Amino acid sequence: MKKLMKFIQYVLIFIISFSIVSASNVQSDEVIKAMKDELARSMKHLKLESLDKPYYIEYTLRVSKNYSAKAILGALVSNTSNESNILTVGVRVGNYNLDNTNFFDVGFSFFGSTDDEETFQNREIPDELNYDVLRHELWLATDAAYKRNSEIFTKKIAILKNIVRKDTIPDFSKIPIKVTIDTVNFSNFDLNQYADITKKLSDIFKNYPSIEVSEVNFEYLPNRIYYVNSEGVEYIKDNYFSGFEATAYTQNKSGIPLIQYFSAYSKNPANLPPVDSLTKGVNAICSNLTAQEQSPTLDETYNGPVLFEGQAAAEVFAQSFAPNLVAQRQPLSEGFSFGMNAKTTSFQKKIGGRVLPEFISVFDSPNESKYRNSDLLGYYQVDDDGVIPERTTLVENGFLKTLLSDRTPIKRVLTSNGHKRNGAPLFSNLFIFPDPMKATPEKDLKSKFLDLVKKRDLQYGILIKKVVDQNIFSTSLMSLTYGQISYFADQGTIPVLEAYKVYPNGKEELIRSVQINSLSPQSFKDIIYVGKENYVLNYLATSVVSSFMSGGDPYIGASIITPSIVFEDLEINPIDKDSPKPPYIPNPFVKKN
Amino acid sequence: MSANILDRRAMFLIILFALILPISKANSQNTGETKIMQICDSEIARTMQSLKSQQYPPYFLSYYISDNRNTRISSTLGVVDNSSVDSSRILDIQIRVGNYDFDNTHLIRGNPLNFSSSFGRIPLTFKDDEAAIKDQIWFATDRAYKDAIERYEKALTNSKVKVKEDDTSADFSKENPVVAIENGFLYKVNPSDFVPMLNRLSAKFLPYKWILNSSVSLIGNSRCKTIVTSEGTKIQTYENYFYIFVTASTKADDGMTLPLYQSYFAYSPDSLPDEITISASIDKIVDLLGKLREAPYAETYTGPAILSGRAAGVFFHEIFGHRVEGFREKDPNSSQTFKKSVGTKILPDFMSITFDPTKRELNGHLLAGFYQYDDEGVKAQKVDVVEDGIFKNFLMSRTPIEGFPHSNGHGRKQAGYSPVTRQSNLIVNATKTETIDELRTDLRKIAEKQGKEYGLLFEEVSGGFTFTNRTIPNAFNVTPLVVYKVFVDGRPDELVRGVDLIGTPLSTFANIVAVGNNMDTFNGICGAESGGVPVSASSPTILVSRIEVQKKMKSQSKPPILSAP
Repeated sequence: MKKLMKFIQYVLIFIISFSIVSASNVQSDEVIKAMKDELARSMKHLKLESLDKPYYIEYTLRVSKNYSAKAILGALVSNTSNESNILTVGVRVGNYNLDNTNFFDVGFSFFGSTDDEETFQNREIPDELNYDVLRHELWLATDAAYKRNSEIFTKKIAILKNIVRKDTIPDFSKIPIKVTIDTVNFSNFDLNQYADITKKLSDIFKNYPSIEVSEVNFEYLPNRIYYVNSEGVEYIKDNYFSGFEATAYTQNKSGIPLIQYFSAYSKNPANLPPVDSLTKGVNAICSNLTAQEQSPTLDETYNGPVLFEGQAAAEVFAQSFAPNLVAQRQPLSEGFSFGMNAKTTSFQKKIGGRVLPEFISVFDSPNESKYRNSDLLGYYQVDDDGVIPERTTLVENGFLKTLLSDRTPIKRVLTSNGHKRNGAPLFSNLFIFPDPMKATPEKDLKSKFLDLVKKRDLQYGILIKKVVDQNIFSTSLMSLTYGQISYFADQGTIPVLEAYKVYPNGKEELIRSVQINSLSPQSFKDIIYVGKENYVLNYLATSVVSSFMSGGDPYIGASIITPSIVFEDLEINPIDKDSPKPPYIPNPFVKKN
Repeated sequence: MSANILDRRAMFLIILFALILPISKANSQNTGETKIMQICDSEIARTMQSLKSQQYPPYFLSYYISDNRNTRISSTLGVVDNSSVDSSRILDIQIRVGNYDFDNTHLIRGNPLNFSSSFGRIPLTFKDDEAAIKDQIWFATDRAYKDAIERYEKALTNSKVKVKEDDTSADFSKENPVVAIENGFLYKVNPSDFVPMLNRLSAKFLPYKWILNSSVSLIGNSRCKTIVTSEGTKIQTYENYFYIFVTASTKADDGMTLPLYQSYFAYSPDSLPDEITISASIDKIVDLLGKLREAPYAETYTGPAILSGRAAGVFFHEIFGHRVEGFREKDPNSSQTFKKSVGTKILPDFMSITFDPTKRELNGHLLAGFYQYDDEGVKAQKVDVVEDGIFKNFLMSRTPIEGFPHSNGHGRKQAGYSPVTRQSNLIVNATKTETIDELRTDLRKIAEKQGKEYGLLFEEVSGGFTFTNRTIPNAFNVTPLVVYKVFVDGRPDELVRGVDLIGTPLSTFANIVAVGNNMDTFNGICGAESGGVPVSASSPTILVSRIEVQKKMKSQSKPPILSAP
């Protein structure tokens, strides 16, 4: 009884918002009851002969809807909505210090079992759920997870008998027990309304006949997630985002591929920009792309000051700096080194060291839903482990303080700071925050940048306004062009989509086909100036821990809030490689001279 | 290469249906040339003209457009598992450079990456929007042309550095252009018309907690196929396939997974079977699964066997059908089992085998391999492959082989793939037959003569696969679901589990000794190089003097630790 009272004291019920409207056709209380009942039964009775019982079980049910539309030149290509229920069961055998996790089983991970075992990760279960059906699915998935993880645990113990393991920190950290409800009222969503906008936006490309191919996509993905674990943590939360993406491709007279895209995301589709603003955005990329057809590239590699404005500043942070802020743990394996994203480990042992100029700090703040008038895509009130996150200062006055973590400890970050997102830690709303006294008003930033150019006695400096988005590049643009944009894909470089030579007199000249070389996480220490105005980049961030390892999604909504930045010295290269030939068959709409 | 007549997902079924459900016609009827045909036609003309001056101009260009409306409704334990109705329009392009004798599709010998000659699975706009479609067609055709000229040069060089080919027939046959425009419509299935029935049926499995997975599904594919070629062919036809599948599986105590299924096929949703019929099949499945759980594990065996009509149909599809698909005779790595068999006896003289895609029905069974025009625009034709035991013909697409320069309407594919020769409705006929009882008597006699305690009866199969390549043993495997021992001493038949029927084609063919006086049909999806295509295999029951069974691969995972909640 005393134990029970103690437990009750620990259970804090957070109700952030509440809706009686469920995302699925099943009542929330029925889902939670089925999960708790099967969890209790499994914790009590699930045991195989001489093997350990599970010490921890968790259930995650994702009730997903997916609305999407795609249009080309004013005509719809697809207009679909579907739903699915995905169940993931986590079972841990052993104890918090040493369990079956943080171990990479090469055979199971790459090839799966040769037996027809039930699925327990991302298991598709019936669309229509009731208590009995959910119990049935939980039963089969828990059984499979327990058997598999017992086997993995035994294998891990056996391997540890033959090695002196340096990593002796616990496998799993403890968290406060909380029950959280963070749901919203999903109003009835009318896909046709957004499909119409998609069509209209795609119709704009008809005014630019020299653009070879283009498309506009719309997507809205509302999810409701139900979670319980054997410690008493429980939540129901809504996770959702929406967005438009317009992509276009063409080639100049010599066949050099040119690409552009426009994107606008928001958590709630109702908060997406109005049609006028979207139209302006699509027109802008069309104008830019047609202008690029006539533009020169660099004659030679440029070394010197580079000014990144708006989207470009946020994207370079997003691609080259932010992924290194995620805590990663090298799993034990059978003689192989798998599990970490080797490209993003620069800061794993850097806590306490300087990673930025002393006038810049960085914090991640998942529970801020807006910055000024913009929805922040990385917003959430409870992470996937059930931890309520708070603002985490990652870099203070240039020095790295900590990394973003979930319940998998690493040597320097032993507890979760509430950043488990879709299977692994990731940033959410990342604020690049300069000392206001050191920030430069925008009107002066360009002058300071040009002063650097003059000091170096360069003919011009480089201003970059837009670079490629990794997600859009690998998905929409890649399929739109049947892979012809692999022209832009060079290891370790970032393709630039809008760049200018800026001459000492302030004149700007558009250039095409350039890429940023050798921009490492360490390069950011060399930021010399920052602007005062912040740009908000909402985008789909590439997961740092691969979705193959985590079982989560490869792309996750996040926001980067940053001012414009000036690097004292960077290398910008012309893309100098083989390109596809121009079309043999003339464009049906235009004859190029 | 392997070919499954029925994969696990394809455990369908169909029946005749008394329940009349409202079906709406989604497309108005067409008359004359359609807008999409006109767009394709003008783009073909423009492309052929504009590429005339290139070093390697195309001599053939075709656009294959598949307008699809696919319905998937699956129910489990009384609730909807998933439900979707999707529409799509898919474009496949085939462009050929060189000439009919030698073109870019020519086999590049020694190259493990001999990819297809078409460029496809391009989603097109739903409406016949000229600007959008022209743009998509143009961009994709240009890319396809670039691929074609690259491959053509590789093929030219390959032919110079390799030895002279055994088969010197042309790469593409010349066929008369066809213009045929069928009026029709895409079926629009309203899920709410079927969901209550499917839920009631799937709920029948609820009391049987030992059945781990079960479902009752409706799968419908309704499509309009449009083919336009530079030779002048213009075809529009409608092809509709609807199935109901009942599937259920359990595990024996030794870990063996035991699946059973029942499937029903129809050309329209209103011809599917009624609830009572499906319900009865569920009762049968539950009963049989219960018996299979307790059934003994069969041992490896060689000896006589009876194959039911459906089992024999799959047996012929695997051991024979895939070996008479003409294009395989061209590949020097293919086993070419019947290459030199034309005019020779390969079966008992009382047996004949026909492939007839023009037949919609046989003895009251609908046939899934029916179509009017194949996927290369050639009219479907009945082909007598074996007459009175003598091998006469190969199934042919527009890929000629020596002695068979023309297509007989068997170039088939799934949207997104390149067509190759595929089967249609396989029909085994016999002029000398026995009753089933006589076959059982013969089975016992042969078993006794061979010193066996029993013969085997294969009553139900789920499908099978075969290898036709020379690089691996040229074997087949038919996957039985329901097998009985038929004892020589007259004891009651005994249900057994855990065996696959295996063998090599020619030796097994030589062992067919008698044929029943019945006929049964297996409808399924055959998967091979050109994707999944609907086929059927109809056969009487057959008696084989010697077959071989091997132990089926068995799961080592235990049944669930806890009982069902």
